[in-house]
Amino acid sequence: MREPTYFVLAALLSGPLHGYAIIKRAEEMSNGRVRLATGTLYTALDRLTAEGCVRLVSEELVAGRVRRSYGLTDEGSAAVRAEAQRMAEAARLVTDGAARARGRLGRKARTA
Amino acid sequence: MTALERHCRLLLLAYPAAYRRDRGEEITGTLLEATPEGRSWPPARDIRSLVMGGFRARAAQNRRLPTAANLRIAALVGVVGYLAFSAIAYLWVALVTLTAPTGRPAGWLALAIAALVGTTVALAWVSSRRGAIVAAALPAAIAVSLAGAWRPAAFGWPIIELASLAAAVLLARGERPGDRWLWGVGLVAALPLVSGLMPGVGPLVFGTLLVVLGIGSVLWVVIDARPAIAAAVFLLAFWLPTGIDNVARGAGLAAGVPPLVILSAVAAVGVWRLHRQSARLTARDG
Repeated sequence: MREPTYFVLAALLSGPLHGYAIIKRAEEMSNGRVRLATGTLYTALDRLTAEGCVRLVSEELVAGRVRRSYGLTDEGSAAVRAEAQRMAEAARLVTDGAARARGRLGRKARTA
Repeated sequence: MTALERHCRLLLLAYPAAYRRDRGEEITGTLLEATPEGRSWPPARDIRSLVMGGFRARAAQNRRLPTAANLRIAALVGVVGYLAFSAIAYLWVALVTLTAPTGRPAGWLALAIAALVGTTVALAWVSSRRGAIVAAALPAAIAVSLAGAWRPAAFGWPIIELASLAAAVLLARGERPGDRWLWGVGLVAALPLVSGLMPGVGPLVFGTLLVVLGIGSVLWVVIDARPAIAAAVFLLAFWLPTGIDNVARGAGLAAGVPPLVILSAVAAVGVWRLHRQSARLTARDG
């Protein structure tokens, strides 16, 4: 799963949001690191809707323009959680390995 | 409308018209909210993502049809483009001949061919009634054959025109090309007028437009391979009469080998790309 897709799905975990709100939520969640470009957002939304991970929840008129809100489907929710799990396991390979290496170094220093 | 909104709408032109109708207002609203105040253009990354997103949406249009249906649409556009080109060429010949002191019968025949071929083109583009298309194509074929008999030294044109009429009848079924192809068909149809109305520079403009059309459609292969295939079909139909006449005169095909190789290569790459861009279906259309 590509990073923009992951953050679109992750932004929707807290409930349905419209386009700009998804951009803002993804930015907040990533502490400003991920700023979804508008075209990227709608490409991701189109694909995720076609794959059944995201669905249109509501439509309203704001300043004469249609504003659509999108929500996660059960498949979308499962997909983002599975991806988070996969990344956590991948991260543990590094963080646990680093901790073990630190432990070995500590023991060596104590015995020296 | 603010300058920013105007520029947002301009950027949305990268998307297909149907997509813009459905999502244009929504994307414009998001862009206006996402753009910092005081700017007349969205940030560069938004511009880039919109243009790329628009191209991706255009490429995705093919994916709802299988390769065979997309190929048939591309071939129909090429054939219809060639027939529209021929109809306008006959119309021009009719206008020139009928206003000259002699040659009236040939002028009336050219006018009849222009009308009949033009009707066949229009019906092949919009009608789903095979009988109506055949009813227009048959008299057009007879008139074209008569014109061919009139000029026995150049029988390549009527042969290719008859083949194109038959191809239009066979290809005009199922999903049609859609109005967004009309500008391309209109452009090639206008070529004989460009050549006729601009004595001296006409052939140069004609050739330049053909080259631009060919190069443009080849570059567009990345997004949609159908224009390149349509252009190859059109250019092949455009070139073949000269090739046939050269062979008939004993001049051989040597001079025609480079264009044939180039057109075949463009068509082959186009078909390969089209297969990758089309739906993985076999049940629909064909």
